[in-house]
Amino acid sequence: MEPDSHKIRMSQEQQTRQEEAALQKSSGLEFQTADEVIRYDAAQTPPPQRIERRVRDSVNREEAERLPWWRRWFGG
Amino acid sequence: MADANEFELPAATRTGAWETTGFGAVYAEHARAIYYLALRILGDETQAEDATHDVFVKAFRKFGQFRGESAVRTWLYRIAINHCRNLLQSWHARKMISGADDLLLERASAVDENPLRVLETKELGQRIQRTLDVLPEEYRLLLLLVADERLSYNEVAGLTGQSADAVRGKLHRARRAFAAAFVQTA
Repeated sequence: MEPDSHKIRMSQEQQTRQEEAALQKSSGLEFQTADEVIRYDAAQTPPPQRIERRVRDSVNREEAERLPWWRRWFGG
Repeated sequence: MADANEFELPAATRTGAWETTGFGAVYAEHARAIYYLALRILGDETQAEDATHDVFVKAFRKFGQFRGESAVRTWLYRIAINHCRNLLQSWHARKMISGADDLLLERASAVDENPLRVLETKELGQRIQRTLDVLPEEYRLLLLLVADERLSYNEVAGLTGQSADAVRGKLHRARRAFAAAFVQTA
């Protein structure tokens, strides 16, 4: 019986350690270097969608203005 | 009375340069990196949005002259760095902006190589910004560029106007200064 209770206790302790580790992981982030933390932040920081619309409109407008008037009218 | 459709541009013109030149694909691939660099250099979301727009429009104007002597990413970074520097210079000219914290940089030499800890992702961006804000511009730029894994040390050296060896040396000091400042922002 003794070895069995020992096994159970070991198993419970292991489970507790795993739970503590999981809790620590979920309640905080840890980085080893500045590069690592900046890289993580960059990955979490997408540019707002509206910038793409603005750039697209500006680019299309600039290109259209480069065309001579007759091409703009007739698409030649 | 004239039909409104009469004055619409022909379909060939409405399919804009965004699609026909392939510039849309360039934006899709590099916008995140350029926006992030602008955000962390300027420290303001609205200014970073405007800067990202302006950088890509400038790039589009020169797109036809781009000869591929450097990677597109490096070329865009160069435009972005110059653009942000010009903005910062005009801000500095208009108001006093505090520079690097000398005391902090002195303390950096005594910092242990401890991990950088943060409780929540949402506070991470603010802490990184506060940390970068107290570093010298040179360190800030080095750290931001080196964090982009697509850039080699030689490309970072080219963008910052120094040798790759100088980049390695300064990077070591920049990382320590960042760690020292990051701890203080907790």
